[in-house]
Amino acid sequence: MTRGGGVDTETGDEGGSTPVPAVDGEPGAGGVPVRLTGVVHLYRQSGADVVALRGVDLDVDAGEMVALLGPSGMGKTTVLRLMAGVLTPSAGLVQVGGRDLGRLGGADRRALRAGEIGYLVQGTTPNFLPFATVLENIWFVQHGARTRGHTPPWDPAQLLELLGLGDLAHARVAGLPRGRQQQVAVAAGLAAGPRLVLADEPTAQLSPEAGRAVIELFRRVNAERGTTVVIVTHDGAIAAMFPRTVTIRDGRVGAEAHHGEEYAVVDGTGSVQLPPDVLDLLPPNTRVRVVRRPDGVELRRPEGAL
Amino acid sequence: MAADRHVRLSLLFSGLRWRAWSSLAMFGVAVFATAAAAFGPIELHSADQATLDGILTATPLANLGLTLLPSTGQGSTASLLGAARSAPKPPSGRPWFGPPITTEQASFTAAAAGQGYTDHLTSRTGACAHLTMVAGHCPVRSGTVILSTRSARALRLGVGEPLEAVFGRRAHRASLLVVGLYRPGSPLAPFWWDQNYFGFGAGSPVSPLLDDAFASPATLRTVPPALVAALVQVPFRAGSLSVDSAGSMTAALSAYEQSVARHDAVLASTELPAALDRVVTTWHTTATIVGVVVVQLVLLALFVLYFVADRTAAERLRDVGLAELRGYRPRSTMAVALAEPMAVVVAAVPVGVLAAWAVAAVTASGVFGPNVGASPTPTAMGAALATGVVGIGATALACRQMLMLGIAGTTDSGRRAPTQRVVGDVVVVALAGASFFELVASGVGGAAGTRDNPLVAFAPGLLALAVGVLGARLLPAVLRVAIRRTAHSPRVALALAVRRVARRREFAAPVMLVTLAVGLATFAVVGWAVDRRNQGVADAFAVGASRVLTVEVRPGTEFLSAVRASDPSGAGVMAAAVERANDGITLAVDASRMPGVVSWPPGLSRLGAAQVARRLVPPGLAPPVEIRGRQLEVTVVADLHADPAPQLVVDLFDRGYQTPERLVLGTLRQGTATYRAGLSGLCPGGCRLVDLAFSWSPPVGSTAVGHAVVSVTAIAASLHDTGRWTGSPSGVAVSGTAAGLTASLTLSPFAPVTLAPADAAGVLPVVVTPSTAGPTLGGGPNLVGLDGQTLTGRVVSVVPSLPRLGADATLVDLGTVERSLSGPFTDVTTQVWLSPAAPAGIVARLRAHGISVVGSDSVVSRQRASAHSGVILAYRLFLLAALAAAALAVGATAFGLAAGARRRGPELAALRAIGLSAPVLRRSVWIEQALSTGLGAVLGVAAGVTAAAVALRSVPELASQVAGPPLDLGLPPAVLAATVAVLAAALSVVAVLGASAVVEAARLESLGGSPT
Repeated sequence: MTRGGGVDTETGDEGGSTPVPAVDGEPGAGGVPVRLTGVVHLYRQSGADVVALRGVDLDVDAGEMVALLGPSGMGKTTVLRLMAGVLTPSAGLVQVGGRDLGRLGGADRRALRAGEIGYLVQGTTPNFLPFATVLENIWFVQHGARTRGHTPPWDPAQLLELLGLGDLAHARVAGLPRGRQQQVAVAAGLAAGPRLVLADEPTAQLSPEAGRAVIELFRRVNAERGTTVVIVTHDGAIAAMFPRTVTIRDGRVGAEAHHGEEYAVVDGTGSVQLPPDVLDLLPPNTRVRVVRRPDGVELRRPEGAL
Repeated sequence: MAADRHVRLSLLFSGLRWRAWSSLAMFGVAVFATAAAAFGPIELHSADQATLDGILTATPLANLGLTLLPSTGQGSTASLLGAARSAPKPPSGRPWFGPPITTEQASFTAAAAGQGYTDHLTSRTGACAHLTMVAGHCPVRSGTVILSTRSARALRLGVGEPLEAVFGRRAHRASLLVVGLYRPGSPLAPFWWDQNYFGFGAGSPVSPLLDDAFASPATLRTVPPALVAALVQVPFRAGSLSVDSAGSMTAALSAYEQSVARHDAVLASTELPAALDRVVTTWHTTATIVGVVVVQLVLLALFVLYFVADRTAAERLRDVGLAELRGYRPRSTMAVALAEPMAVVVAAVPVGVLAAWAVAAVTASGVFGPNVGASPTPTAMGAALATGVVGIGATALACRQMLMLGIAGTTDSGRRAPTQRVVGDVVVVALAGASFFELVASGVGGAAGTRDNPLVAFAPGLLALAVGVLGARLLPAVLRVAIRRTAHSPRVALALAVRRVARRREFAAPVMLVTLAVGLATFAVVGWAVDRRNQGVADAFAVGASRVLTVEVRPGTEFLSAVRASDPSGAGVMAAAVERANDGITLAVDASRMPGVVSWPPGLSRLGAAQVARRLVPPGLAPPVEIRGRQLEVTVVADLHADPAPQLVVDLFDRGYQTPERLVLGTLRQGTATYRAGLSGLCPGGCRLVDLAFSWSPPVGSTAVGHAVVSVTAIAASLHDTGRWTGSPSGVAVSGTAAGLTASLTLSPFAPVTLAPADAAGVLPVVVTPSTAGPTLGGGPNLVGLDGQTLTGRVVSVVPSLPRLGADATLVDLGTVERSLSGPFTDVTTQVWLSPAAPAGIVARLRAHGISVVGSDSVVSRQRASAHSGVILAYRLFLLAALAAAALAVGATAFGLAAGARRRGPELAALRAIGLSAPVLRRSVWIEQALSTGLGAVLGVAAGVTAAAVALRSVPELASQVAGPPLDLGLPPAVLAATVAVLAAALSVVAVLGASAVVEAARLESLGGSPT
């Protein structure tokens, strides 16, 4: 099980825009912790099941910002979907704010997404109504929240002003540049005032500047409302903007990095994934000797072995 | 809340605009469906009004009005008028009946120059307005009267002179002052209600009838009431009855008749209920046909709506996914999914009603006649609303798959649960099978292989849908074989198409849809063509020939010969006479010309028309013995053993004047003697020898028996041919010698002994209908001769119905039945039937032969007259439905291709990227269309033809023609081929153009499109 650091507020860049107001005492204000314990997930296919996750242990503290890294097909999106309650784990525990999502019914999980979880799926267009204006898209999200008894902390115009998107309020989303569309998608994800924001590759296909602008939005929300933010990205530069990164490899947590320093992670079974750059020294199926040291362990090839 | 509503509306309209083509397509189909549903009742209402007007107009006014008579024989005019005032009235609007016409009549006799006359003194409300006065004025004062000019001439009276009238058996005498003379009008004028007030010359020669003498009611009051007959007639107001009030009128009339009989002792009679019964029967037929067409068209449109909604659902899948993503409640998610299609369908309902109303209103006067309009009836609006509700259900069903997908499905292709699909398929196939077998069974059970069955409204559509379902489900299985065979085929386009169609369920719906649409189009076209053909046959059968002239024959003209002479070729003109007696109708036609003239549809009788015509003429009849000239001479060699000697009498029949003539040639003398009689004034056109009669009158009380052997040696040719003569009584032996005709007679005082030409059939060959096949007095069916005498027939053929006369008539040969005439035609209408080959100027030719035309009926005029009838119009809907179904099939195919183009763009672009050329891809899409749409078209034609073969005989208009000519339900090959060709061409064009558009839209740039 990995445990990350706290909120890295130092990286927040408000860029002169109006600060997002803290909502002390307001229900739903602040972030929620997320905990994945021994999570296994299988995708049922005709003929054979595909194992996507093989025992993921991951703790994200309330108000933490985490980027999930890793090659394609390694299970990052699945982790995010499990956190969003879109999928339920085949085994293991997924807890958001202390609630076990696996035990919640579909309606309860939808209710969570209506208020507490803002989930941005991969790509821009699935996250908004392309024919509607930006303002109407925000209303669309907040309407869902209101039907669940969740009162968004801001009205649509106010939110857009707060995010610096006020000038786009009456623009039809389909007509906006892709970067702006992604900002609108983020705004939509934040519209209900969620305590956990999950974003699947929110900067994909964006220019570096546009990508950074999107991440800045997350950082502002995280910094000013304490919202927990978990994103999936392939982009190292984007990941570098997060205080904590978690690398998913082969359906497990392969490594973590805190403020740029990378660590291998020992999971609940004592397994540890070696970084790819040392595999030339210890290729797969190599027998190693584990040597205990005062500050840790050392892996050594037996004498004479290649 | 208001802001929320505003945003909701804004989102709704933005979405509709964003998916403009899909929205428009759905709107168009929904409008079509609701318009079709509304159009049926609107059109039906107009057709019903046209039917009502048509039948009431064709019914004589006298039959529609109320005739009120005292039920006890004697009753006061006041009570009759009281009953008239309480004639049924509608709850609102124009009264059904007009002011009453009171008629009072008293018979009287008068005399002039030793000749007695019978007449009626008549008072009739408003009579003067319908008489042409030539002298004097209308009678107003009591004791005044007007006479017709010819009555006045017969009575030798003028204006200002007294008419001495004797009423009853000399019970009452009156001297009436003649104050005016009128010219007799036509007794056929509607005002006279089919009563002949102008019967001058009819009646007994002893006391011939005069035209009625009209007087005022005051004059009639001077006659003892016991001698006065009164009746009140209440005319029906044309155009006062609407479709909606017809039912209430029937009930009101029934109640009225009972009421006046009970309370006023008045007998009310009218044929209005019978006319309304005919109207209702026609309404039922029309309604069923319209129902057949409209229901199937609406079902097809709803299926297309489902198809379009299904295809457009993919475009809204992202919206639904987003709602799921944002945690919407299921109800809210459903609202997101259904808001647009529901809004479209809801908007389509009033537009559909208005469109249907507009089309019906614009076409009403042309289609139904100038006085018939179109109005959106509550039924029409209800039908449109119901269709809208079902349409919403269809769109919801189409969207249901989308709702089942959830977020995970936003990137997957939609699939319906296999179990539900199988259940749906089984239900459709089971319903279709049940309907099919029910129609087959009911058809066999009905008369003439037909029976009215309401299932006919659904069966064709269900059958086509079931065939489409089976085809769509079996196609992939069949194509899996083709997949193996094309595994290494160099034909890339074929291999690609086979795999796509075999493995993707998206092709199932087009197969079903095209099968359904083409099936309905085929059924409708076949139905229209079959009905058109049968209508043509029925019209020709109803008329009897291409054209039938009602004629008057100049006295002295021999009708049959004159008609034959007017068309020596014999190809196109036939004489006919219709005897309408109370106990039967006899149609006598010139059998020698019948095959070429009479409409005798194939299958009407087991034998063909020519064979039937031959059998109508009895074999072996001697030709008639014609008597012409100025003097008749008969030479007889007699060997008499009778005292006194018998009288020799010759009976002739004047064929021109249709009168029997008797010539007494004198007492028969022993030995050879020639007897003569003058023919002056007789037989100007020739007479037929009826017989030579030997009349013996021994003294009263004598029981003697006389004998005579006579040899007639000179009266006509062929006397030596014994077979051409017959003796009566039957014991009379007749023999022929070279010298002449010899007979040994046993004379009796009770009946004359006759020798007659054997030119008349004792038993007439007849063609009968089942209702006239009996009774069998005399060994065969009885029929009424043209002179009103009862004859005995011998059945040569039984037909369900006779041309022009229907199911209650007997057909004989005119020439044969004329030889049985003993007097003039009685109640006979003389007609000349014409075939299309009749010579030009036939009317003038007939006139030249003493035959003048007084009326005409033709197939063309009947077809023109029935062009506005509800049933004919209903059948035209078949054609309209066929066009609409074909348009829906083509439109839906085009829409499916267009919708597929967007969805398949990346896939086809990828294929182009790996090197497949555009022509190969185009061919591939063509083959896909050929496999799916082509299969649908083939199955549709088969389903439509099968449905027509099974269901058409259960359409009421066809099924009800039991007594008419036999139905020809055979498929019309030319029409069918043309339909298939047009449909195939239209679908091919759409497939080719659509395939090109699909491939054109697949640009390589689309591979770098928006991520999903």
